[in-house]
Amino acid sequence: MFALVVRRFFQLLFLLLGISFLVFSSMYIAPGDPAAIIAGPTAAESDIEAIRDNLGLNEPFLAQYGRYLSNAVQGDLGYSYQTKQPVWEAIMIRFPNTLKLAIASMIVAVIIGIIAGLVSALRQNSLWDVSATTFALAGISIPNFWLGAVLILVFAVNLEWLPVGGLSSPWYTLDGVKELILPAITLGTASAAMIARMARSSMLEVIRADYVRTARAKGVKEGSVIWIHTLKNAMIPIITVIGLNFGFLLGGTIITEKVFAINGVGRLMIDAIAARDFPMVQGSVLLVAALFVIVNLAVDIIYTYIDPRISYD
Amino acid sequence: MTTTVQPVPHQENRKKREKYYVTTLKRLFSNKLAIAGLVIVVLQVLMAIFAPLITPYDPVAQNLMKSELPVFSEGHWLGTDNYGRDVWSRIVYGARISLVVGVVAVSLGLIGGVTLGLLGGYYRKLDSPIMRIVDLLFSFPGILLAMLIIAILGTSLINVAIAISIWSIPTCARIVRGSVLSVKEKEYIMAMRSMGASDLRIMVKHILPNITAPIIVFATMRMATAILSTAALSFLGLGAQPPTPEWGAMISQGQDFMWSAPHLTIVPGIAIMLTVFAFNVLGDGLRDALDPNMNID
Amino acid sequence: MKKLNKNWLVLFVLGFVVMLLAACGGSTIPEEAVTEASEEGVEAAEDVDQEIVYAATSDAVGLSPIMTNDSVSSNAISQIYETLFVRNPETMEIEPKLAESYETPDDKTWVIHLKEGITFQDGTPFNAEAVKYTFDKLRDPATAAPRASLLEPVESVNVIDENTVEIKTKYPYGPMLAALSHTNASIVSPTADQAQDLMQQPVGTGPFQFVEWTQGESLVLEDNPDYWGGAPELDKVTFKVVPEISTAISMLQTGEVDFIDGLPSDQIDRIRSLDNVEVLEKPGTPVYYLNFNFSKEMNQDPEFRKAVAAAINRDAFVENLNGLGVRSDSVIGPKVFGYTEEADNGGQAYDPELAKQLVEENGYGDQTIKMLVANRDNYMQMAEIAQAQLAEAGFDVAIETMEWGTFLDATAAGEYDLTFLGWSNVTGDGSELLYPNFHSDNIGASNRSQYSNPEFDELVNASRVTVDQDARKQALIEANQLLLDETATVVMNHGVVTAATADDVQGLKLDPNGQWFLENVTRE
Repeated sequence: MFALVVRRFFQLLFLLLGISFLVFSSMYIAPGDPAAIIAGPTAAESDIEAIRDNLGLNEPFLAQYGRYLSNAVQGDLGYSYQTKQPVWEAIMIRFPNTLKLAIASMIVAVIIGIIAGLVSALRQNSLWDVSATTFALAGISIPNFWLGAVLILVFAVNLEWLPVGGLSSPWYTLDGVKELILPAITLGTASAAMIARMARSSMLEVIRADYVRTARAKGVKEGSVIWIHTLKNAMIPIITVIGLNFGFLLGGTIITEKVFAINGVGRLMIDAIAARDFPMVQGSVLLVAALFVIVNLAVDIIYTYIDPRISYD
Repeated sequence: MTTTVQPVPHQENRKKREKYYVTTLKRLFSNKLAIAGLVIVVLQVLMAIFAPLITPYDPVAQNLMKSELPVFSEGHWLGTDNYGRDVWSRIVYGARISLVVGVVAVSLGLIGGVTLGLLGGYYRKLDSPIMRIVDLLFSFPGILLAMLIIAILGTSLINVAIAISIWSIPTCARIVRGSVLSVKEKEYIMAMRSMGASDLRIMVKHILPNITAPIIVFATMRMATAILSTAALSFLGLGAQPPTPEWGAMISQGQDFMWSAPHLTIVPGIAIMLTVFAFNVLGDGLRDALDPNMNID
Repeated sequence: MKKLNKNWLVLFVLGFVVMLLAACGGSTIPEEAVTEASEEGVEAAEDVDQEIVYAATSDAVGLSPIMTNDSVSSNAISQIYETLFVRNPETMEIEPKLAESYETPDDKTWVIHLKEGITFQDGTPFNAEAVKYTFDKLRDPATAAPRASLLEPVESVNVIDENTVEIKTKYPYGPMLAALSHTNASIVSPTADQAQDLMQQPVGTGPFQFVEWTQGESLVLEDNPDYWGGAPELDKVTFKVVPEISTAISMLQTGEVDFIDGLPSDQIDRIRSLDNVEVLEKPGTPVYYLNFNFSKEMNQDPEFRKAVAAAINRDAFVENLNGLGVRSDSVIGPKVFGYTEEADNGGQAYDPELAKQLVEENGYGDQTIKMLVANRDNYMQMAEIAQAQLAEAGFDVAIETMEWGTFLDATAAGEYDLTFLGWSNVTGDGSELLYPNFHSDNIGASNRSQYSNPEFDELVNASRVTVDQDARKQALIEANQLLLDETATVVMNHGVVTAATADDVQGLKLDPNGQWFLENVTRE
């Protein structure tokens, strides 16, 4: 286990280096001058030039990247071009919101997904199965920006049950939970659908497997057959989906945060890309990528606990 | 191994394959959902091909006097948008765009993914570096990757297709690599190798045909993702150029009218849902029918 | 719990208003009735929290007037800081604010007498030293201020005595007072600027002072009890970031926010139909126009520009804006210094037959015209309508949309044929519009059309170097007419500045440049 973690850690470093180079060079190549954006359309050329000098944008590419890298290694992710705020601070203000949103939608996804999958696997080809399957397929097929807008229209504006947007109350209060419901459904539906499909097929596989049949034959009660044998074994593919989906969720927050006015890392990222705020783009992309890798590492470790046959050494 | 060994499994293989395809089709047609998907996809393709014949209006022709007509209006059964353009005509032409962008994006992704996967799976030495690159691409959220690419290339549908294709490379490469690894060790491939057949020939002529099943399933499913992603990028203002009737762009524009003219978001929303749904169930059906785990040889 | 109480309160207030409305039969009278009722009952007003929540479509970049140049920042900044002069939104005359009076001993010297006894929110006295400090900092190239060019003509700023400051200019500078009334020329507290980062912790002389700012989320201000103009009624002002305007409208409807601005014409009907919301609209200084790129050969052909202007039906476009646009050919709009009514129809009129004929005769339809559009504001709408109309006349126009940042670069570099631009004109002065956008000095930067006409340059210069306001106006009128005669641009519309508030918000002051002031706002 320790070896696995150490190896993954070095892979992560390599990955972050690669990503930082990729992001830095793509931002450098991309047309659009951060200084011109800061100065705005009203600015004179002298204004823009002064800002460029001030930000060090007139230096050659490698000098800029080298400086960024050496600072980053020392834990300094630099300052935002736009707001002059430390990048790390700016990200950390927003990160809890993104994490809240991602976790809440994961919870929605897992609960709905596993229930739907379970029901359709146990009552195969029944009306339950058909409706759960259709739900699953429809869930993957709904554009989430559209779903978000429709949910706001129905539940926030017309019924006034839930707030329209924002995350301003702590998550453990009633208001906080209410604020999370619509965005979590918007973001979690597609994942719920994927988990439902995955859960259904892996459950079916396991139910047909010999040891369950044996357990049944031995007269173990139906309920415990399902819960002990089937669910445990079906967990592996489900956890895989959760791991993969976590990255998908982090990407999906970009749109959800925009629709629901949530101050998160996803929105920070699109705003930073649009403003060509290089240090901010770098910082937030690195964070998201690192998180993705760590979540997948955690998933791998969980595997080895659930199924001792799996080994990574 | 004698020289006669080579052609025999090959011919036998082909016969087996034909039979295999027939049974696959049979199985596919016994799946009702998959048929529904297939029908929708075929209808959409027909719609796209015959768009000029089945639309009463030019999809970009404005008529500011007749804006925001509701559904079932005279002459406009799906109503008109804020510029008085016929929604039905736009939906039909939009099918063209979704299909073309989807096909281009998926094909580009397949070319990249299959190449990387084949190389990685076939050559032990290349495996590790290629898989690291794949990991790198994988750890970017797809939409972010697309945004960076569009920031460099500029906003247009072609660039959207390129961006989406790049983001499907890692998944495709992993699937192909896995399949190659399992096929590579088969006896007849080993035999051909020992007889000195060129690597390229082995890869293209013998390995590739044997891993088509997972690739077809992947491609079908990916069409769904590509269409959805195109819409999402257009929603963020990074895709289709106006007045192109792209579905995602239609929703994005229609959102401003959700209260006065809800059909402007609902109609394209349903169009996207139906199409994506169709490709998903078709992909599902194909997977069940092809059963990638089945041994083709 | 606090939030819950507030929600109940809002519900209660809403319910109360609805009841009143119902009681009065839903005619137009009730609104007045409500106002009267609450004005009579002073106790009633005291029961309402004097707080307001504003939904901004993006976060403020920062809170230093010296270091920012975006509209959300300036809206926050203009509640916290003040300028020496302001333009009266009703009369459009420039009036002293922190200044008491001024004189111009010669045409390159401005002596400004400051109001006495004003202090910054940190206790620092407001005086000539603070003014000099602020302007010197703004002008200093090392500061790299986005709007340093605002004071470009300034030679030196000198302290005469505690309450008198003298500004020497390099040449006679006509729009000086307009420049001094620009938000970016707000006076900052020198002690605070040296002690802390004003971008994060602003200190000014204004009616509201800074409390806290969670970036990307919300910015909170509170009343400045020692404000020299008398403490404002509002106790608390919150700027909340809501990027999607439709989400913001829904929040206004449900009472989660009290106030939004920059209402889109697409959704104005929905906002107008909301019962609990009051809409403020007034003609403003912004102007939106179709811009030719004069570095392209085809655009240098006056007949081509004429054909384009004749092809675009601006009346129909303005109609499509649902009342949020003012139709005029004039580049200098009705609310801007230098406007004359005669210019309203002074350009090439809409004439589709003429356009078709010109396109046919000269073969203008043979080449594809690249119409570059920024994917924000109303520009997409303008482009879609204009593109269809140009196509109608026989032009072959392809729209290319771009993100804002790329757009700024591409247009400054002249990589387009046609585009749409807008200018909000914070100072409301015609020189501030014509000089940056059409004067040959600014080619390669803000003159994105690369228009260069010595005669025009001369007139704009005249409007800038004279201090005589009548002579300035005459020069601007002539320069404006020259642009129209040459069809150097096609004006799509002049802006209507808008805001929508919860209907118990009273006293919001909306400037024709779109900025607003909360000093006199009360909740009833």
